[in-house]
Amino acid sequence: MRDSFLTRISTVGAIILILPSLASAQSLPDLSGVWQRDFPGNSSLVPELPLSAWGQERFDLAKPIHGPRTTAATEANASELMCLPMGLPGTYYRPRPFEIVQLPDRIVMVFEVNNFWRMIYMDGREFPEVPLHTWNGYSIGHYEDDTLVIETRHIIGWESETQQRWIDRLGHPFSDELRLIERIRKTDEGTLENEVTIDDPIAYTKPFTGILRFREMDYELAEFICQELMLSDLPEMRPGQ
Amino acid sequence: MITKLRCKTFWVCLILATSHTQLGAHHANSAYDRSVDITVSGTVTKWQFINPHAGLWLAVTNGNGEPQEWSVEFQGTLDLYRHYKFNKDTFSSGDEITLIGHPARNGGPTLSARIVIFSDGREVNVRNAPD
Repeated sequence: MRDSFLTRISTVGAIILILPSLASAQSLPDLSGVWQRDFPGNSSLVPELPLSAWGQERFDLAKPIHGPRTTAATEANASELMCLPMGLPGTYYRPRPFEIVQLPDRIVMVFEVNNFWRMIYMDGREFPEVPLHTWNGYSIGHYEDDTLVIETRHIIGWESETQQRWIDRLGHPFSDELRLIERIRKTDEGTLENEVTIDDPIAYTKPFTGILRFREMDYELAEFICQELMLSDLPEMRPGQ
Repeated sequence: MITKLRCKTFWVCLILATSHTQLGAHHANSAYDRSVDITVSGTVTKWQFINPHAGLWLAVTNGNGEPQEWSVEFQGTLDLYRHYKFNKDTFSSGDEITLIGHPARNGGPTLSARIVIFSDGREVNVRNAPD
């Protein structure tokens, strides 16, 4: 009798202890899936970007291969032309899908183009004291209700006329000081909304925010190695031209 | 204005300037005149099923009765595979096919593919994927 009572007590206790974590697990938004942009690849985050003098000067030097200032590949300096990464949020503008994989301590974004991956740490860590600037930068995130909030820093910024770094495909530059905030949530099944804030005091006079939407794709990621460009015999594909 | 010209097999319908001065034009829409369609028929000599753009080469007899090699640019492998199930075996050397597409602005014998017509008459529109 006493054993039975103790068993009941401990069972109830265990349920009470487990319940909050179950509830927490249930409330985490499921953002997993294969997603691709549902906006034109030649668009910009907002209609008018608040370029600083530094930003305007570099924007004028950009020779993109999309949009109103499209330039022939022989003259262009878009990093994607050389199969280099476009960083973030630029990679979202490519017509290639990416997959979100949610793990307890991190989220992995796998971009089909060039098998790029991006790790978003969800374990409460801080940014590294000594930054290592990389193409996709360093990302930490947390959930706010149904929204995944990501902050990214340490993305390699604009370097030179031939080493361009843009936030889109139109030539809008960013600097090493870019702080990228993303608020990602599902607006309905099959639609992902990313509210992107660009906070770059070097390239822009003030932060600005725009929305990028993605639709879920019904296929699996596959391999897309842009550098096969080097193997192409097409006259239009000669790298460096 | 769309100019779609059809002609006998193995002949280039629209004879362009044959200057072979190729301008690099990866991705740049300006490399091809998308307001014009031309038709090229010939024999497949090579199929490069790679990224970022697949390439096809045709042995063609031009309007002057001279042999000419044409190259044809397609989308990348995954667009071709996902939409049309193209793969490395879609074309083989010796296949006789017809291509409708946009000519290079520089007048070179190169084409941006829009429609493939296989020898059995099957037509595939290969320009559905986004840029």
